[in-house]
Amino acid sequence: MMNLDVVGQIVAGEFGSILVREKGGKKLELGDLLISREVNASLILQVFDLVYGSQIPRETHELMSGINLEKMPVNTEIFEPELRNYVLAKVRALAYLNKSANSTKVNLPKILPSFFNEIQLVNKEDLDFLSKDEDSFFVGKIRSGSKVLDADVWLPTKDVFSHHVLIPATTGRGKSNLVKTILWNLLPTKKVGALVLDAHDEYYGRHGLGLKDHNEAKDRLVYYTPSNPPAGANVLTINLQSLKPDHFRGIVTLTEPQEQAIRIYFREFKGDWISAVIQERPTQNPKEVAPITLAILKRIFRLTLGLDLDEDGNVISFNQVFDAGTRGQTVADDIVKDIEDGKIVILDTSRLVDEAELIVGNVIASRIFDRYQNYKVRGQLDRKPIVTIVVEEAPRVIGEDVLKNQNSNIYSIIAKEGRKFNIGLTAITQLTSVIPRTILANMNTKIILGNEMVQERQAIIASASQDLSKDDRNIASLDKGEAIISSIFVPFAIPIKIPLFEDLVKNQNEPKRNIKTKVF
Amino acid sequence: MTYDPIKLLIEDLVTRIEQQGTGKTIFSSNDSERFDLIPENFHEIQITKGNRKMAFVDGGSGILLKAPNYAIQINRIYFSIFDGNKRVIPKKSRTRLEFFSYVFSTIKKTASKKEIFFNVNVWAVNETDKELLPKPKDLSFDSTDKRIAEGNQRPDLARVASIARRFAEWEMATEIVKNELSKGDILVIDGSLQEAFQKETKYTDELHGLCKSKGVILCGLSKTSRLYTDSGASLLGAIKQISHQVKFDRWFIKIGTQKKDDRGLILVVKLHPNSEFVFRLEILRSQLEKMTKDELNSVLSTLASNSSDLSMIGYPYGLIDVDTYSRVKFNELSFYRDIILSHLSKEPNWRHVLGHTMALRGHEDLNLAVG
Amino acid sequence: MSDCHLGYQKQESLQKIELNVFETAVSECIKRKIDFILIPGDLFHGNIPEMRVQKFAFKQFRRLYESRIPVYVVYGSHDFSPISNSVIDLLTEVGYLIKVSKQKDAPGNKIVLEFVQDPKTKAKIFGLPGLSAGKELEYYEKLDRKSLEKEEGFKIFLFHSGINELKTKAVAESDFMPISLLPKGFDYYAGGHVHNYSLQEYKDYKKIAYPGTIFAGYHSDLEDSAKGTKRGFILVEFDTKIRKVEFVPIEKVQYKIIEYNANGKKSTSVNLDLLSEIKRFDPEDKIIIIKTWGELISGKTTEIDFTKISEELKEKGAIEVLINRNSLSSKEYSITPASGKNKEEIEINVFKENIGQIKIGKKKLQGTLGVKLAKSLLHELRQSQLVNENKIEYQNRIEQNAFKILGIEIENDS
Repeated sequence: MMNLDVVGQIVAGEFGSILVREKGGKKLELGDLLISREVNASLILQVFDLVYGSQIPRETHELMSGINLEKMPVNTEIFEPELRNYVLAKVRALAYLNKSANSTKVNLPKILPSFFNEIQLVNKEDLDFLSKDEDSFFVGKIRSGSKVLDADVWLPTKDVFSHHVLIPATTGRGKSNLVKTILWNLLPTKKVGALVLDAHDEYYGRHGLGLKDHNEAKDRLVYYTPSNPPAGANVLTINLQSLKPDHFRGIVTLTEPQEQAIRIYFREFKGDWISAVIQERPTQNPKEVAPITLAILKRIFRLTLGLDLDEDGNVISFNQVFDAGTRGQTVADDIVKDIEDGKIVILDTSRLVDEAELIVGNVIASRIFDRYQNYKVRGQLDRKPIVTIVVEEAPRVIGEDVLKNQNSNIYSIIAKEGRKFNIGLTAITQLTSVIPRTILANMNTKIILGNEMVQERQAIIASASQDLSKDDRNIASLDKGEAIISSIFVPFAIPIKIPLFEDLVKNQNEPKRNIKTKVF
Repeated sequence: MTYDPIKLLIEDLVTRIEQQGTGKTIFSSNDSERFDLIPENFHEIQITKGNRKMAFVDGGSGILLKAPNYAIQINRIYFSIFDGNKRVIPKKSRTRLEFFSYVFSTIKKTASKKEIFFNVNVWAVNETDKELLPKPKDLSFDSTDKRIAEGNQRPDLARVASIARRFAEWEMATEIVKNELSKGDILVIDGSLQEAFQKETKYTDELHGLCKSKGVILCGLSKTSRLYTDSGASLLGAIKQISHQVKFDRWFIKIGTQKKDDRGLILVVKLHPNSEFVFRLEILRSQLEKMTKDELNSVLSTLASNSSDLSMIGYPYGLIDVDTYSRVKFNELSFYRDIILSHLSKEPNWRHVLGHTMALRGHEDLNLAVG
Repeated sequence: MSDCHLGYQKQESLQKIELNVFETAVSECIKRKIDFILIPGDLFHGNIPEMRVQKFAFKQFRRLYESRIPVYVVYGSHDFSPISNSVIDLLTEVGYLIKVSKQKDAPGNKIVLEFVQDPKTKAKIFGLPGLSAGKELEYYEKLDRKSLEKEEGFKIFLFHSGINELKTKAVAESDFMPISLLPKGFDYYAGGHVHNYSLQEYKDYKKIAYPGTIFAGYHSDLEDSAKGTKRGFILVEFDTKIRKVEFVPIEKVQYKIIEYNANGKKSTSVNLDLLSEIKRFDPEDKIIIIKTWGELISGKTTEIDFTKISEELKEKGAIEVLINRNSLSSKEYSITPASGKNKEEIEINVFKENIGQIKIGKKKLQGTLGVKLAKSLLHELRQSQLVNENKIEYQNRIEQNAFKILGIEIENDS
């Protein structure tokens, strides 16, 4: 086949490492997707390494280089360099496509491509098996090396989010853009309700473009922020009555006496227990709780929840998030209701310390978990949307140290058991290596962004749903906005380019021009 | 003083070489033509711009099965064309010809006695190539013919099988001149232009005639030479020694002809200033004698311009190329061998046929046994 | 005052109380010589209530008019009409009411409001109406808040919507909006739609006040009243700023509530227990509310003789007996319950539970929008025939309103 599209030819190798000689000038890249067309089938290959090949001994090249560099007056050259010096791409097969009249069946490859077969770059038509399903969301476009193909990648919404998502990424690799893109594409669907703990207040778009700019934001997006909410946003106030001792478990480290103390106060003062601790009200049996324990608890609440007393002895909140009075009584329920309506709820937790953020999340997540357990018992689970809880710096709640030294928290419970109840975690982390393998194994979709740390790459590769053992270099060289999706819901580890969020906003259809609204 | 045989040996060798000096070329025939090996006879090859195409031809072969009374060999001939440093796609001819040559012994009655003759049959790998193969009637040789014998031993059958290849190279060369080259272009054969075998002239005549009529310059370049000088030195070694007195980067020196009617006039050339190699080059004498100095320089300059590839500086890249593609590699032999044995095994008398190879297997088996 | 829901009550005895309470409130206002009255919505329970209610309303507002007490109103979610076909409009036309939801003609899609200035106090009054099923949210999303916030002087904002941030557990949760949608910096926010009294302050929002219903607009209001919730109106004193906010209760009737958990009981036991319970108190001149819930272990719910219980109580002088058995079910005849504190909430939840199962292409019929639409349609279809309306007129009116809600234009065949 003399074909302008040919980029190389298979010349040697073995299963898992096939050698393709690059056609002169074609410049194959790490991560390029190639296709070997067989009879009634195709094999999709991916470049994982590039080496030089030559018919000329290395010493001769070194000599030539020396002549050039040292400007030796030797009139010599290499004849037909494109024939005798070339690049060999090491490729591995990703998928075996069996094409029939109506469809393409995708299997794991078990054969070698035909020897000496000419290879082409994959094109959009070759990937039509990645078509959109009724119940899927857009996550990016297929990437071949650094080239972006006009082929969309769709993931099955319900499956992906109920089976947990891990987004391992170091700073500056496009993690915020990815999360925003995913949420943007989830907004119109009612199949997933999301609770987003936004530790940097970056998703709503208070000061720039954000999810608020989606045409359906009005109906599908809910934003809670502690102060100065923009028009349409809600004030984030959690009534202290909503917090129970369980909400602190696995998030705040408490000693045995401290745990006992809070249980005693809760038993006695019920919903008012936190105020009682801060006001240092005595229990019926004051000897049950040592003054020093009470003082420490009071300090813990001050540091984690930002609570203290004013001059009149009333409990006040520095971060304006917690209320000891009547405000915020229904916020947790409202949020749960919105999530059950399939909406995306963003909580601006940028003013909260880590523990407070996680406790707030815990309050809501626990409630959802309980309700969904109930729905399952009543056989109503399939009528409810999938729930995902988006948590940044996930090792704070599902890290090995946290789980070893403290009790499990709602996030780790969801990570281990949430799938049964259609509740999943979307965990974002820089440090995959500190998350236990048992939890990583449950996270069935990993959207892997660039990572320069060897240890982290190894942890990601070890827990991936596909064999990424040859992708170490690939992952290290992922540029900003480039990712690899490894999931049990895709036929092979798919390299993608995540669209720029700003472009998504710009390219969105103009909303229908409303007729001027008349006020009656 | 300790006994060091190698030291003594080396001392003796160096002394003898020094004593040899350079001398004059020795040719075996009495009617040879000879030029003096003196610095004044060295001429510079100046690099000029030219527009001559160069075609290069070479062949390779490998023994597949051998017995004293038969041998099967795979042969390959390949050519390429260059215009300067750029490869030229041939207009018509296929660049590669492959064929099997099969030698078998027969008995012929001569005037005085029965004599063993070796006959060669040829089969093209690709049936359409059979026109390019030498005719079997030209490939029957008396085993006592001195041109093929090895001393007073009958020749190695591989050598006999290779004769077919040599004839096929001439055929291929003729095709190239016919279809691909024009006036002023150059055809370079790897090796000598001299005929060595009975009936070879039939093929060389055709080629030479065509070259002359079309004006295509015919050359033969040999990597090695067994010519000597009358001081006992090797010709090429002696010339290299003398060349140190010559200031040219690239040069040639005429050597002469073995016999008066030899086709080619022998030169020795150095084609690159940084090369250690000097080569024996033959140019068709009838063409060389008519060339002006500039024309000869132009031909040699074309050759020299093709000789700056770093993989073997001073040797034409075209010959490196044809050597690469005509060579039969060792690992290919077992592939063909297996096919032959597979076919043979279907014959009822296969043991009988293979039994003859035992006559030559002793060495191999001993090597295997003793490691 | 707010959420008077005149015309809500079906029973004659309660109708009398309903009108009586309102009349008392008007008399109080006249007696106290107040400067003006604010009614932020749901003055009536429907846009065209029965003639007796209309006549009554005209009479009361005329009293206020003659006392030179202006009444500033906005539509509520019940007395709103998409074709300005509400009795509010009649009252406005004759000058008895002043609608403050005035929109300026301005370019663009933004809603720019203009104020109505009370001539006596110079208070600037702005307002936005409530619409059925919480559609007023669109007004707030398009509202040009900046122009309102820039306005100088003493400002009042009338609105008919619940505020998320001010919700308590006791309040119905539907159709509320975030506080951030209100314009900031007003001196007083007169809210309607929430039926219990509350007065709250928030950063940037000085006084947000809900008087609550003066009597009842839902059955659950009567239950809350029976449990001690006070009903009345709010009196505000101000000059350049608010000086005092006082809740003035109106107590015109007494209540008694019987709450009975029938879970796991037999119908016969429930019957006996209730009959026994009603004998333990004097029902005279009281509104009696009997609330039962739970799943009967045997027997049907119809085997509980509520009629007899009701008759007995009325014989003893009860003003009215109201039975709430929405959450009462029988194991033998179980239906999938939908939870909710009142009928309206239950309706919403039933819609929500089931709307996901219907595959419809139109967005307006899906999700929250679909639920809202279904609710509005149900509300409209519930409108009863008016006294002076014949069957065809009634049918046409209902159809017209229903199609309007569905956004369908019907051509006249004339």
